[in-house]
Amino acid sequence: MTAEDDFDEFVRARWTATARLAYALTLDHQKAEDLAQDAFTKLWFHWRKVRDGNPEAYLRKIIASTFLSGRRRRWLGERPTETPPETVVDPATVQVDERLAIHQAMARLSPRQRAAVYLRYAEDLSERTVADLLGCSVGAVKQHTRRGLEALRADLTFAGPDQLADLTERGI
Amino acid sequence: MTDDLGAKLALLTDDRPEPADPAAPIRARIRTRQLHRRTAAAVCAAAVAIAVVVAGSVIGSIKSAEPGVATPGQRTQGLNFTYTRLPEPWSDEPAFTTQPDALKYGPAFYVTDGSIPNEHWAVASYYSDGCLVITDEGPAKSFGGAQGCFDQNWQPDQRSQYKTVPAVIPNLSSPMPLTMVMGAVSAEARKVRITAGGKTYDTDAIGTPNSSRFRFFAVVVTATESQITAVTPLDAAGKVAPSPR
Repeated sequence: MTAEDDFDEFVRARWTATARLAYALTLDHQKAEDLAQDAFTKLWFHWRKVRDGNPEAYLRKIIASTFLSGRRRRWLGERPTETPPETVVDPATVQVDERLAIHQAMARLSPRQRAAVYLRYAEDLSERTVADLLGCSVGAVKQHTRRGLEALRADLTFAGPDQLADLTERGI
Repeated sequence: MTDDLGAKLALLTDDRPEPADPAAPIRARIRTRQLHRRTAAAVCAAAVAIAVVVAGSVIGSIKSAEPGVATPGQRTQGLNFTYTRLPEPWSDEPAFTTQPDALKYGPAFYVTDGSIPNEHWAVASYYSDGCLVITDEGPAKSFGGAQGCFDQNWQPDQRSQYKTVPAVIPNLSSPMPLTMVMGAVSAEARKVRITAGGKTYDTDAIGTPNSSRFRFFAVVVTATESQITAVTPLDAAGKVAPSPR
């Protein structure tokens, strides 16, 4: 199997998880696909070096650093506000679209908070690993995570009794 | 709502369009990026080459602006210069000279070069047909830019014509008797054997575009002028070469 075949197999195997991570960070399907493709493309140029090691970790690192550096390079027009500019989901409504609710809640986090929360609680990575991925200290990861969760708690659509119990169980 | 934060986050990323083959667009991106890299590398290489050429021409123009330095263009300008190439040893490397009125030496070609303490020297042939000049010397100018022409007054059995120039080396703790021996021999010669101060020196007899009749030589011997006892041209077979025709 050539390096190209090997790489293509890896892309097919890891595409879904990578696209999920990219979407959790960008909260936009097109940007997520672009970020994921960009990350795989960058990975290819290091493939011979990392293929026998841990390419998944390297790919995650590329995703995180590309996302965060992209956020630094330009203002993307997102402006966090204390109250959402428009309420798509009414928490009192019975038919709450949970996906839109969590989307809105995550959109109110800073990029680093969003990345820290997702990597810790969706990908179940350790604080040390997340710190390596985000290029910061463990203390900074703790801080991003804590603030991110506080922001999520403050969101009425998110902080129901079950969620608060869940967070309390996790010692957050 | 689900009970678990992780499950909520998983729900966030559930509903996404999946491409039929995610590897295909990535492969296309890789090709595009490789093309960009190659293009960037080519552009960089071209930029470096242009910078080198520009720097060379700037340095060349500065050098040509110095007084007493001839440029190849100056040396060959207006000359209808044709020549017959002699067998090796041969040199057609254009020479520069820092001598005053440098233009009168053109076109000139390097014969040989060497070093003595504190100085590097070079000798070039010039004129048609048979002059030598010491072209390049260090700041001490130990040989004083000497020159000599060897195209006239050859006796019937004369096999070499040469000039000796003692070196003047300032600031040398113990004086060294160094002497430049430079001259001309016939085109049939390949080497010149010089006996000086009890030692024998062999040096190449160099053909240049300046002459099809003569070959030239130059060597510095560790001896005084008076200690030079023989200058003998040798042909390709190692026998004494004939006089110039």
